[in-house]
Amino acid sequence: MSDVVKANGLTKSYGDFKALDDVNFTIEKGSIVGLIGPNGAGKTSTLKSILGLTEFEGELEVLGTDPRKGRHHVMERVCFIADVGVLPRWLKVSEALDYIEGVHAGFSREKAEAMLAETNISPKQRVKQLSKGMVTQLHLALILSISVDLLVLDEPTLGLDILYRKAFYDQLLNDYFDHETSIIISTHQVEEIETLLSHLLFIDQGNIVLDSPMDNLADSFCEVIVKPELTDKAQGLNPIHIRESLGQKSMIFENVDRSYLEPLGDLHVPSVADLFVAKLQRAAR
Amino acid sequence: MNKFTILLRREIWENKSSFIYLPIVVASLCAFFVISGIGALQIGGDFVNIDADINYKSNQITETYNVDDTFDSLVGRGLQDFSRQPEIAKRNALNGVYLAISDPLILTLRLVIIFYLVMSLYQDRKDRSILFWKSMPVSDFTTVLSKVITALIIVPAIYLACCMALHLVLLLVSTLSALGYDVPIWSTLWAPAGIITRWFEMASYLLIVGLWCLPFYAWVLVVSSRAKSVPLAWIIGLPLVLILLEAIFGTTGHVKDFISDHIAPLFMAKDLERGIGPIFDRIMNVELLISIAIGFAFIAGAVFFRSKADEL
Repeated sequence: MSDVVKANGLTKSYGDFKALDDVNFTIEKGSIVGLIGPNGAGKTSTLKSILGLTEFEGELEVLGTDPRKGRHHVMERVCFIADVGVLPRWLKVSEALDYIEGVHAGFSREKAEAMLAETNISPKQRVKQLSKGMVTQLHLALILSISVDLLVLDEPTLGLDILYRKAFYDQLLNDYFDHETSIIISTHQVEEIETLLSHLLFIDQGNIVLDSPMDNLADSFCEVIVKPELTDKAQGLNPIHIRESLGQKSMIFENVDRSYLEPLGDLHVPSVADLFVAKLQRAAR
Repeated sequence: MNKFTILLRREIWENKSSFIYLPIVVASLCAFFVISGIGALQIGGDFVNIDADINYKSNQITETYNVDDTFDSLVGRGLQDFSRQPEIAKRNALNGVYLAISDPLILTLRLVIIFYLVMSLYQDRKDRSILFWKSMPVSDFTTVLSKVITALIIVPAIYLACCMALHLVLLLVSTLSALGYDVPIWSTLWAPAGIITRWFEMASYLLIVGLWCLPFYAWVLVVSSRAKSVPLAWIIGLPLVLILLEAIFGTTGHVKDFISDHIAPLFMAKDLERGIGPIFDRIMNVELLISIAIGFAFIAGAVFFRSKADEL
């Protein structure tokens, strides 16, 4: 069983509003999945369903079991950071270590202490004495010291400055990722995690609009900086996105054979951010 | 079990000031008044005009009785009179004294427990730390249970320990004051005080009253786990509405009686002065079982709301 998460017809409704509408996807073991969508697209609903934090309809398997069986069972093998700054302000760093050591079998105190030793955080400090960036460091050190099969990060760097954001993802990749654990990261700041990901899931208005391994992007998508005289011809090939900058038109094509595109101009793989805009505008149309 | 212990410790960490520091402060204040009171008596009677603190510091207790022979002989005579009282009279008198100096602690305890329960499932939703707690493999039932056990056993135990320390101080100070007078210390001050028995009585009293008032405690938990704002308003408001509805449409007073019966004992520590027996007679019956059952039903409700709970 190499699928960590399997969703089949996952639906989440709030009254008439469908936050998730018949969503299907799978997450393979060892992958780093970017769950990317604008605010209100259904990212958090998806993650909360996976974590057993909310009710839903349809089928969902997380590590072989239904998360509806109980959040606390899920949490033995899944960890999550839902936004930064949610550590209780009264908690002392040493108490946080004691607590997690006491309730989580997979926690390595040595690992957490080693990570904290590289920061300016002292065990005697309370969370309220730490800066927002330091709280994130602490939270990350705590969570990354728990060995689990799946790590879920919901907008983990929201509100942090660029230095901490970068350090966060560096640490995630270097100290943590071992190809055994799978990671799901939801964000709407695409650029930052682009290089990290092995798989992309775009979500918009409760629907998955793109589900592709990063390695396959080059096969399916192509961005062409179209020579001005060939614009009409390029339009005829149904680009999914057209962007104009400095008088040049750049178009993104999906599943169009390279032999048709090569004569039109310079080809390259679109950035995730451009692809995101392309797919979402298309979905909105 | 170890997992549950850490949950209880978590509750103490979060509420250290009201669980640990506050009872120590209250007990110290009580002890201060007791000591300065006895000290003032010792130093010569006119204690109204004497600064109590100076008395205490200057109080070389066994020597001070020479200050005022007249008054001193008065204290001595009083003690001797008291020592000749019948056993039961001595017991009742000291019982009253020992319980009275615990009253401030017991009252503080009740208020602390109620405010603790009000915030226990509300505060972390408000400050969003619920997202952290829920990321741990701790079931919602265990979480709620840890709050119940904290309120029923842990906090009362801490406050009881402070009462015990206070009793020991009182025993010690009264013993020191009586030294030098010709009174049998054991049969005058120690045996009638029966503080060990008193402690057992208080411990069972705290536990039984806790169980008796479980419907109220658990109701507070339900509100704490569900309210979107001002939990106190719900806690007080809804029972009031029920009582009002009953008064308007009902002919009996069952709701009102039940509600007041299960809240009032929390604020009547004086009950204890009549001895533990009457309280048990009143409470230890099928009604207690009903209270516990209703308490459990509310606790189940709190667990249910907790499982749905999200940041506010």
